Amino acid sequence: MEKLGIDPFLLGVQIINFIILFVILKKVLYKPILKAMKSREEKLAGVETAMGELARKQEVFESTKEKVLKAARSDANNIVNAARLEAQKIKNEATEEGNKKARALIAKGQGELDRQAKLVERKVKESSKKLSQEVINHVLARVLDDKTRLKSIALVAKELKS
Amino acid sequence: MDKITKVIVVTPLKLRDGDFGALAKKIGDFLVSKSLVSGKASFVQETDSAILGGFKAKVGSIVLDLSLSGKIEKEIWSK
Repeated sequence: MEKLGIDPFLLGVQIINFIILFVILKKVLYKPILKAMKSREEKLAGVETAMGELARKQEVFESTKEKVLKAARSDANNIVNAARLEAQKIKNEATEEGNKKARALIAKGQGELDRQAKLVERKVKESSKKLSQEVINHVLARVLDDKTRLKSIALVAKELKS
Repeated sequence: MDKITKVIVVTPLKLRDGDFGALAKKIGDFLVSKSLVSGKASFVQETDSAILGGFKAKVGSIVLDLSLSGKIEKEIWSK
């Protein structure tokens, strides 16, 4: 070894130095680094677990949200349908009521018209009769002479006797 | 003392006394037969050309309408 330029003592010292350095590095550097790496891995695993949990919770939330929305839509549809039915019912009732009142008004109006028509007819008949009477009286007053009037008195008196 | 009932006789023209007397007698007999007059009656003549012919006899509130205008009126208003 000496021929090769290698000092065995120095080699031994170097080996010892290396071992010492290895021990020191293992203790001072590798272990904290490994510990830190392990801790980091654990933290990452925790984060992944938390993320998985969050994702699961999100799925549950989404599912629940969908169910709630579906139920809400269904409820809303039911409410709208019920409201429509109620509105239709109210509309039908109002229409029927309106029709009923209209029919009553028409009947009343018709009755009033009939009454007015009868009244007018009666008045026209009365006027017609009065006019006829006046015309007849007027004509007879001009046509009848004293002789005829006396004769009518005699005739009536004769009927009175019989 | 008998009560005297006033009878107003309405004619379309004034009758002579004789004619009116004969008419009053016939009216009186009729009124007695219908018990509208009991005892004596006095007849008063009134003229109204509007009755046209025949005559009316008024006894109190009762009117015996035998006038031509009355007959026309009855005929018209009975329809």
